[in-house]
Amino acid sequence: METKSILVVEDEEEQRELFKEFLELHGYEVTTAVNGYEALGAVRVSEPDLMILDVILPKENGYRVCRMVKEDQHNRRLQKSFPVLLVTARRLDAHPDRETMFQDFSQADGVLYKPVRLEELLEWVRSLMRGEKVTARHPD
Amino acid sequence: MSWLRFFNGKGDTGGKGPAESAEEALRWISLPNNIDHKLRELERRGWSLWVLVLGMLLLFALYIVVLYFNSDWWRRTAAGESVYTVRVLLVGFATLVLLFCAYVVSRELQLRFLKRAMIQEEITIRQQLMRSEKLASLGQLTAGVAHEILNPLNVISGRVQMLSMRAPHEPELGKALDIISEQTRRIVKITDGLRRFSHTAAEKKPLDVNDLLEKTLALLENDLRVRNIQVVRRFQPRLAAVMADADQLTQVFVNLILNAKDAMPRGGTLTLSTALDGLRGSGSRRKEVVGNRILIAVTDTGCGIPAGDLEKIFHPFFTTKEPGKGTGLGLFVCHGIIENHNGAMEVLSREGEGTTFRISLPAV
Repeated sequence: METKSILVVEDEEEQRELFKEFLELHGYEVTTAVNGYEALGAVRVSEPDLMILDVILPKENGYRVCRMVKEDQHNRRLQKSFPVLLVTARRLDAHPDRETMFQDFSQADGVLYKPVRLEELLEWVRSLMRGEKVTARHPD
Repeated sequence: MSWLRFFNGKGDTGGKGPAESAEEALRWISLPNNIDHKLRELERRGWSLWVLVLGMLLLFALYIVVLYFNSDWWRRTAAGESVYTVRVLLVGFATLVLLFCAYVVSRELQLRFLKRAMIQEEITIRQQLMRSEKLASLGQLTAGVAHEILNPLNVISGRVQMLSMRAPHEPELGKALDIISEQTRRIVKITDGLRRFSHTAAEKKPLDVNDLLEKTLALLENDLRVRNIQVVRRFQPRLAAVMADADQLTQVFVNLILNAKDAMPRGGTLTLSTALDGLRGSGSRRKEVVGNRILIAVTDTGCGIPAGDLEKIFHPFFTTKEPGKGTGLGLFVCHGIIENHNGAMEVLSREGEGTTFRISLPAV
């Protein structure tokens, strides 16, 4: 079985390294991007099997990046319709309703909140790659 | 990706535009002049009444002078003769003047009472504004702080989890790592508590839309007057109430009015109308008009919206304003608020002629 590739988009190096190390440990090929533009460029150069996307990013935020990717997939500008998993610390936002609206707008396949339980992340990555829909939920 | 053209250069969705929330919008508007203006208007009316009284007294004096020169009543009265017509006229005039004075005095008292009430109301509005502003900034602060905490926490807990996966054979290390994980969960709980403390949920109460529109206008009217925008109110009297959150609905109105203002840089007319869709109250005119839905319309005579953009204006991040001027979230948030209130929102516009936003909300 060929190695599945994951694109991790994170602006903080420590977070990026954490996800990269953990996912590589479980046999995935991980590429990284540090901001929204880079992420959009990276999916055009080579499409991953899954994208893990932070929301608060420089240059272009995660919601918009996700929406653009999803629209490109819809318009067949991107070949694979790979799933996108949003990873965010914004669950304490002052406007939870608006936060939900943004998530709906982004059309992300799943939302995980920081701090992430790595086992949960792995579980989600596996089920998303199997093409299963996972529903976003708050931890605890 | 057509909407990408209107990208406004702000990457962070947390970025705030001028009219993204009611509090923020209100911060742009000067409050105190408006109430002063209203009081001055009232005072002017009071003065005109005094002028009337003075005029009447002068007229009375003139009347006596005219009588003095044109008849012999003065001589006859001086001679001790009682002139009936003159007495009747005098008493009549005196009564009239007294009545008028009484009216003016009561009016003056009423004015003073009104003034005090208005000042009190102004104070209350300001206090409410300050409170909601404080709450909002507290919410933003906690959200910001929580975000800053949760990001490093993610690294800490992630590293700990990876360590405990790699070192399952060392019980002591495992125990220490468990403790660290346990404590990180505690920090998450604390930040959760912060949110519950600062977050104020929508509080729906029966509201009079006319009243709310009037209050919103009171806060924005100065700004509109400066920009040569005439405000026309077409409120249906005795409108039924809606169940809504006053702050959120005010936010919608502020957004729409400020958008209308931006659409009319050279001035124009802003028309606010309310109406009731459905049945009318039976019988007595004093009864409230009852019906199914309250309709609210905000109409401007501004530049209008190109037909191609009409369907996009409720999309998030859609803006035609200059970079940095708008986030493209105003109408998106408005739409969300109205939908949360089981209402609907639509737009009618013709380029160069103006725009109308129509909102319908279920009546109580």
